[in-house]
Amino acid sequence: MKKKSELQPLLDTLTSIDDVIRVQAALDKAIESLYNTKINSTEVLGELFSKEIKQVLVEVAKNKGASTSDPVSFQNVLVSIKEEISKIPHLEITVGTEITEEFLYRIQRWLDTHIEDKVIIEITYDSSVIAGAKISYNGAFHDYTINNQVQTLLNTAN
Amino acid sequence: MALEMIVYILVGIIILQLFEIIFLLYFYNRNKNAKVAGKPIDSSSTLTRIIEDANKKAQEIVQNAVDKADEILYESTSFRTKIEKEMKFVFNDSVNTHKKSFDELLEGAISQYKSVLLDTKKVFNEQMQKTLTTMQSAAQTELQEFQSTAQKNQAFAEEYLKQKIDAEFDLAKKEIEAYKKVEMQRIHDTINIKVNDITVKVLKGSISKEKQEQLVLDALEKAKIDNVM
Repeated sequence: MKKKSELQPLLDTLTSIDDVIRVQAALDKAIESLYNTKINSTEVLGELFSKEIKQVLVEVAKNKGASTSDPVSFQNVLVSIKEEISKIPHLEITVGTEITEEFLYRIQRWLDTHIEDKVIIEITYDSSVIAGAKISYNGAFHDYTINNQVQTLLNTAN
Repeated sequence: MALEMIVYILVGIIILQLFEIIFLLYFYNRNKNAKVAGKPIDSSSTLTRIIEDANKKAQEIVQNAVDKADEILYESTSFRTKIEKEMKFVFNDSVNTHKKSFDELLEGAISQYKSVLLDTKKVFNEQMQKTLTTMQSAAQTELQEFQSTAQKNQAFAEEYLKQKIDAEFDLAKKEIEAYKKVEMQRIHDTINIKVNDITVKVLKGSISKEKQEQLVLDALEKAKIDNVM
């Protein structure tokens, strides 16, 4: 069973490395807005995140005794969230053909079902890959492409 | 007394005849030697024969190289049949769908190979011609140098010349063999790279998007089983 975090709704929005970059950038903007007296930080959070995620951020801050009215404490919360996101391990999948958004979410669903830890999918393209994928995770690497299979056939035929 | 005289006369006649025989033999040998020594050396025919031998050997080397190249060509054609068979086995009908493009790509590779082969044959011939010219030039120099010696001892000169040419020929042969080896390896590498490229292109094109996606999911399944994640 996957461990649930109070940030789960936010973490659920993170599938790919692009999602991470987008959320990190949004958190940076949110932090900047905290010190701009002309801007309402709560409104900025609403602009940067969905209603649900904004609620999560506010709730997490509240649980840690911080609020948007206290820029320093709220900043600390947002920074800690950024750090937490940056610690999520990346699952590097090297493929030979383009991965559609739809298929990316299919992979995410598969990971949600089969893998306990939250992972960020990092897709890498390698034109030499015929089919299948190379998987790299936490320093471990495995080649599950059919290239080896084909190479064996080539060697046999040669 | 008369008998003694007859004996002396007979002995004298025998001695004279022996001298005559010795004298005749001496002159016969002297004439023979003089004839042999005086005979002009047929340098052009000797040189031609030796060069022709070398040329013949050179042609044999070139032919062997060409035969080897043809053998590789045959193997690559045979390879196509094998890989087609294997691919059909692995991917069922998907390869048949792309057979035309596969054939076109492979024909391109074979054509490229033939081109490399022809270039190689050309280079072999040029290299061999160069070697022969060098050898011919060296042979002529050697022949002139030993002209006087040859007049005294033609057999020795011919043998010496033959040995020199054989030595140069062996050296050239080794160089050509080494060159041939490198060239053949280059052709093999070119073909392998091309065939691999074709295989990747054809297989990629022949695997449906659904199959590609399934193979990625299969990879994840295997990674989980292997405790990669």
